[in-house]
Amino acid sequence: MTRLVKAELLKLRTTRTARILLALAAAGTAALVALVLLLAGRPGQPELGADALRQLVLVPAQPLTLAALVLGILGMAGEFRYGTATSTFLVTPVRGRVVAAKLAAAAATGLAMALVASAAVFAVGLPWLRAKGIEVTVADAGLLARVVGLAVAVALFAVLGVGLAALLRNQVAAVIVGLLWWSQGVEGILVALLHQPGLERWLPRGAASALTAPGDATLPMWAGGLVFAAYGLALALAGGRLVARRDLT
Amino acid sequence: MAAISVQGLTKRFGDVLAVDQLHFQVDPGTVVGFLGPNGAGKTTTLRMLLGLVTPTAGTATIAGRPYRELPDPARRVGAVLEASGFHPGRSARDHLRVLATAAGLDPRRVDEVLEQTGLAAAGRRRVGGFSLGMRQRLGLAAALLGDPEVLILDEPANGLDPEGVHWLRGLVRDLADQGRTVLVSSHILAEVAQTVDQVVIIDRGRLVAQSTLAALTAGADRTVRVRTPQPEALRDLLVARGASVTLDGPGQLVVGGVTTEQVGQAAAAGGVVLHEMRFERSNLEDVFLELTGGKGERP
Repeated sequence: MTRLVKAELLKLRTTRTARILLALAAAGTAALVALVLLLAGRPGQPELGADALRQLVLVPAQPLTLAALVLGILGMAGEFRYGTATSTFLVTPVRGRVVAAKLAAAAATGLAMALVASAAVFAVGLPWLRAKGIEVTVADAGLLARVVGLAVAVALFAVLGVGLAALLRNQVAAVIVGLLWWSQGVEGILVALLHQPGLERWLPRGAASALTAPGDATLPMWAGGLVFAAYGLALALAGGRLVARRDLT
Repeated sequence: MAAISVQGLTKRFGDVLAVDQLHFQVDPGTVVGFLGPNGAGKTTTLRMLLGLVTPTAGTATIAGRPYRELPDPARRVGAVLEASGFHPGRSARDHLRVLATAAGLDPRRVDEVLEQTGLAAAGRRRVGGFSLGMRQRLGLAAALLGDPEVLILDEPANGLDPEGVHWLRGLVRDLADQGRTVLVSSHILAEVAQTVDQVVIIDRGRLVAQSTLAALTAGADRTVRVRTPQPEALRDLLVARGASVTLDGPGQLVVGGVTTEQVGQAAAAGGVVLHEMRFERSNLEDVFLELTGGKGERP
């Protein structure tokens, strides 16, 4: 199994796609953090106080989750789009193992992306805040929870991307469905149609918000994480079964 | 034990019966041509043999086991399939590195197979810029990566230029000389006639013939095509020796029932000048067309 995960990570490293997505996520993160810091305290913008770091670490959540989702989708759907699935499944005929390795590689990449982003936020945010005379501490359980929560969320978005692509197989379809869902359009419409505003927090995107944008309307972080993970695993399992069964013609 | 064994293999795609109760065996160390017109079910059969398509009924085994149950399949079987692709943005070498990593093979094999398939210089280029022939070579490189005993090649000559076809023939011959088993599919008999020991011919998903090439053509007349400025004189000489001769255009004779040596002797004996003489393989093609209904490609 280790060698399959290594092979999947090598696949990610040997095309430009992953590098471009990572660069975009990094640029988006840097731009957003800079914007928040520059605009802080202006009219209509939140004041940066003692909990400033808690706010800052979640600033990159949007570009990170989007990049992770697309990375997961492209990693799986690309096998069918370019026909590399044939050689992949010739080497590993038990296809469930390939999907599992892809999930592991996607999750590991997502974790790494989020942790690098958080490190960057600290590297820029801490000196900036201190220079402005704002007292902040990194010894903060709530802050740590957000860093971990964000990393888990980004990893799970990548997992969901793999699962979605395994189910749909078509890369364009998977990207479109993924984007509609990520932008909260699908769940918003569903909630509006059913007139159940309380439902949203239990849907996958809503549950993920407990980690990426915790607030009064979301589930507690741990519960949101568990619900989101359950959706991700269910999708991956269904997608993996389908990939294992379908004829590769 | 047979290197490859196909028993009652059947595949139905909706209303289409692509492969129908197919039986054949390939002995270890033989080179077998897997022939049939386009749409005969060759690719579907090979994909079932390789665990990529699930049979509706029957079994296909390699060394006695279904492909999906082979331990370390990359070390036992190498395959080149038509629809197998490459990520256009990945280099040839990286494509092979990925496969070698997944199969747990020595990374040095990557450069060895690139060398073997004549891609060493192009190894670091993106596959997106490769010609069809280079992609075919890269497919072969991937198949050879695990140094397998059994090779399954689906229309490997497709997209190759004449030089490439020549190279491929040499490669298959080398592999055969090393004692490997090769199953090579083609819709053109002449393409494989020089390299195979045996042929398996299918049509409309059913087995039409499995035999040696010699047995297949035993009944067919041999013909020799001759170009000469004295066609009448040569005709008389050959007819006197019991050959059947037909005039085919000015200065052209088609001679049946003799070898090229016999035609040459007859011409020398009668002082006839020959401009051209060749043994015609078309009869092999005729046998093939007859066996497969002679209709060629079907939708």
